[in-house]
Amino acid sequence: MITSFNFLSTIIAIPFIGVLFALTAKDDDKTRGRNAFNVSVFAVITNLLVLWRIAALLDISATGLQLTERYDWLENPKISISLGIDVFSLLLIVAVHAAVLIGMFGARHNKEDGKALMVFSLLFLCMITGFFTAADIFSFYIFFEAMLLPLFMIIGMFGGLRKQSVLSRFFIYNLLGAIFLFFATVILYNYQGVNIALNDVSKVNLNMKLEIFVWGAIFVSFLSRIPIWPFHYWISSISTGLRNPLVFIITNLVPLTGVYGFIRFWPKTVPGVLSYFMIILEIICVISMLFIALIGLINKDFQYKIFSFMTVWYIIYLLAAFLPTDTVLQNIGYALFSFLIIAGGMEVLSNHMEKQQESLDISSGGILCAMPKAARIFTFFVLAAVGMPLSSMFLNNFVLIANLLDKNIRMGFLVIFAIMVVAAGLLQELYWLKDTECSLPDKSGIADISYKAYVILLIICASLVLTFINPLWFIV
Amino acid sequence: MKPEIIAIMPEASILLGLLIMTLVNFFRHYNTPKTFFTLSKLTLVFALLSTIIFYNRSWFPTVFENTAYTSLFKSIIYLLSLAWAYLSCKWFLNKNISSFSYYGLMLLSVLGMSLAVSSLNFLALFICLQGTFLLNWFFIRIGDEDEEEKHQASNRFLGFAVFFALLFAAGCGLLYMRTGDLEYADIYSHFSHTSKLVWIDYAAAGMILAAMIFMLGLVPFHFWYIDVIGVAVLPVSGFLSIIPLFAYVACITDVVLNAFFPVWNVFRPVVVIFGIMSVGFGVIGANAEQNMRRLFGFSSLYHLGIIILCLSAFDDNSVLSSFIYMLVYVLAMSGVYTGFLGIRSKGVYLSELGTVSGFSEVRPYISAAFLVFLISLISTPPLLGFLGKLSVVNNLVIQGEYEIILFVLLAVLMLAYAYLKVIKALYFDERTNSFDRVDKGVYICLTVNLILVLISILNPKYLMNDVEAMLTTIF
Repeated sequence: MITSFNFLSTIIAIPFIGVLFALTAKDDDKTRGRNAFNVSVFAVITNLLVLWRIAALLDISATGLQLTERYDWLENPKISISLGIDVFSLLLIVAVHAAVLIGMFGARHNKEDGKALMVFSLLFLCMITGFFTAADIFSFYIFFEAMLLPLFMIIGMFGGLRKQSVLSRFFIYNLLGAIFLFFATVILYNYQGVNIALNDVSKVNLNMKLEIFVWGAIFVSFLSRIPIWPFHYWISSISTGLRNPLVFIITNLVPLTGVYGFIRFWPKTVPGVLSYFMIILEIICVISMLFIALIGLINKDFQYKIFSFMTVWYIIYLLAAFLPTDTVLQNIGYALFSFLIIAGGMEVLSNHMEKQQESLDISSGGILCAMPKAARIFTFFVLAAVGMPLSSMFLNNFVLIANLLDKNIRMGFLVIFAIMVVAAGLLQELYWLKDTECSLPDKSGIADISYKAYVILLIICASLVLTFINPLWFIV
Repeated sequence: MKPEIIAIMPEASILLGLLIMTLVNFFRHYNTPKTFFTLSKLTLVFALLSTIIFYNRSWFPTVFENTAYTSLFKSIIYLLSLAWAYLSCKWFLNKNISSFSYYGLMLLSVLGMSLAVSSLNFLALFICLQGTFLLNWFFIRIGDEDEEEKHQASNRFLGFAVFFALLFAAGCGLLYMRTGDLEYADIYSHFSHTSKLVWIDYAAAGMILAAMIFMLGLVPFHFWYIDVIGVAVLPVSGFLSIIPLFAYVACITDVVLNAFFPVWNVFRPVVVIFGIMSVGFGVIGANAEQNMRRLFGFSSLYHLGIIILCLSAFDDNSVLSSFIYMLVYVLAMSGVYTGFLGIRSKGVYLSELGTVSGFSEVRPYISAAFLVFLISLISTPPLLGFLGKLSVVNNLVIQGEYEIILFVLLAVLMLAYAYLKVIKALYFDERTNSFDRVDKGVYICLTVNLILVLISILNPKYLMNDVEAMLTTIF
């Protein structure tokens, strides 16, 4: 599709312009970050509208990146920055925007420095949008590493971490991954003499030594973003301490960048030497998945249950990305779209419940009985998360699991077991929250979600149901 | 090249400025720190403009030659000195002490560096560069803080500086003994045409290079730099961290390419080892520090190591890459030192990490600028530092130095850890101090620096194209 307007740079620029406006927004005791919040929401909604326009321009049946843009950036070494988009990346960008928007609404009453949170969130959104639209190795690397700074600041300032060393470790782990990717990128660039398009990376013929090194470096860099051994520690220790829904959502978008990296970079035919490592990786993935799912089941913190739900599914999408077929790629995209929105919705509602609990000093048992609007939405999200036919997760995850079973039946069964454990954990929590036998001391004191939030969440639920009927309903 | 008297204007204007400054100091009774800053400013602006206008004209071409390469370095030295002179004035105004010695020494130092960059002769280089370096002894003694410690540090500095000056002089003497001349071109010819070089030839070159590396502050000759940075007053620390680097690197490049290149292969492994050691020592030292100025002093060692590792091939690509890295480093470092001028409590400039905790609560703009410069220094995109890392790593990949790249990139992780301590103190720790109002000038300089950082990363090619053309004139 040829268009004279640079849509892709626009969707990267809008959050950045939002940052500039949010920075200049008045912030005192009276406004309490409301101006920055309004600016940020406006920027995200504007971007969603532009994304809708982009969706209309995309040719769904076409393969490869569309609406491509190119900028000459540097002469020595000669580097051009290219951007492009396909349905898969569009779905991810829209889902990330929707999840961040939900998170922003969820975090708007937090007492912390709202302005800084909005500024860094928009900066993160800008970088992750660039990451999903990167069409060559250099721009891919630039955005891959660039999102670390806003992420670090968001977690550091609003994560409420008790141990600062966890934060440093998080940054160092991720920086290590980015450094490996950078090294591989420069080697690939020098080997070919040009900046390579993302889809052509796997076609580069390297000599044996370089092949091991380059693919090994890429492998480690993406792995560092996914919470599997040996990189599992940082994200679990950070996620469990987060009490701000927006921070939780943004932090849990990090593994998505690793999964996306594998999907975009990783060749379908894995270089010979690395195929041995692939088996090891698959084993590590399955063990990590089972481990996190079981901890999620026994852990009483609902936030950890959401974390374990997200991690298990990220790992499944990663395993699906390694399948030697392109046909599941679209399924991953469709499933991820609903997955991110559902996780965002669950987190915001659980945060709301937790706040009520803390302010009234009550147990969470049966709390949903006192908030019917929240209960309806929360039940919907949990049921959609466990795999009921309420969103695109149902059918597409089914296809992915079928493919995993087809590839390796033992691995497939273990994956199903992990999904069941995670689902059990979520349902157990839902049951506990709706348990009518639990006695709440002061039911009238518990605040339900506002009508405005209820309507917004209902619209989100409706759009999820539409994705079950047609994952691309907003395009057609 | 024909001698042209008019080309002497940059250096002559600095001399004139110095003279006027001295007369004003002696005969005018109501001087403020601004008086000498104004004189320095006018002098430096005039020197800068005349350097740009007469960029390829030389007044004494056999000894001092001006080319696009030398003019580029000289212009940067003048420009940075001008900016730092402006910021230093804020410090002197706050302390309310005479700035004559500081600005006088600064101009004298800039004059020496300017002449050293243009030198084509070892005697001229020795007088200008070594003379400038010895001036640091006076520099260190400026101000009234930590008198005892400062005197000890300055005396230690003087001892080592004199030793290396003697080494430099001995190297020049040996060269003269062997060749009967001290011009770069003759030395080059001697090294390339003599069929059997003797140990004296290598010793002479080694002594001169060792003295220059000492001035640069590369490990294992780094001790003076860290020592001085910790005790000197803020304007002096800033000046020594930002400005002389360009002069030393320009002179080393000139000397190696135009005099010692035929024997460079003998020295290269040693310099590479020094570079690696600098990178290693720099990051270890930075992690061990709680004093921000010393922390950045150690981190400078890391950056210096990278510049030298990149430059060590001395081809067109490595000269360009190291220049880009140096420019990026200096921009970020000058931002950091500008930030230091804004971190003040009850009139005292703070440098201990524990004293700046929670600074972002009251001074968000300066903290944000600090954040940008720190992230730029660890070369994270999309900030300008990335451009430096890209040029250097790309150049090292071309040279096939994969082990060095891996070492450097892993070292940056440790450096990042040290910088995270600063970010943590500024942003995440509870505030324990009250902070003074920050001068508008600090904000202006930070904004200009931030704009430069942003614009350069968005479109670096126009700037870099011209720089590349200018740098090639050294070959």
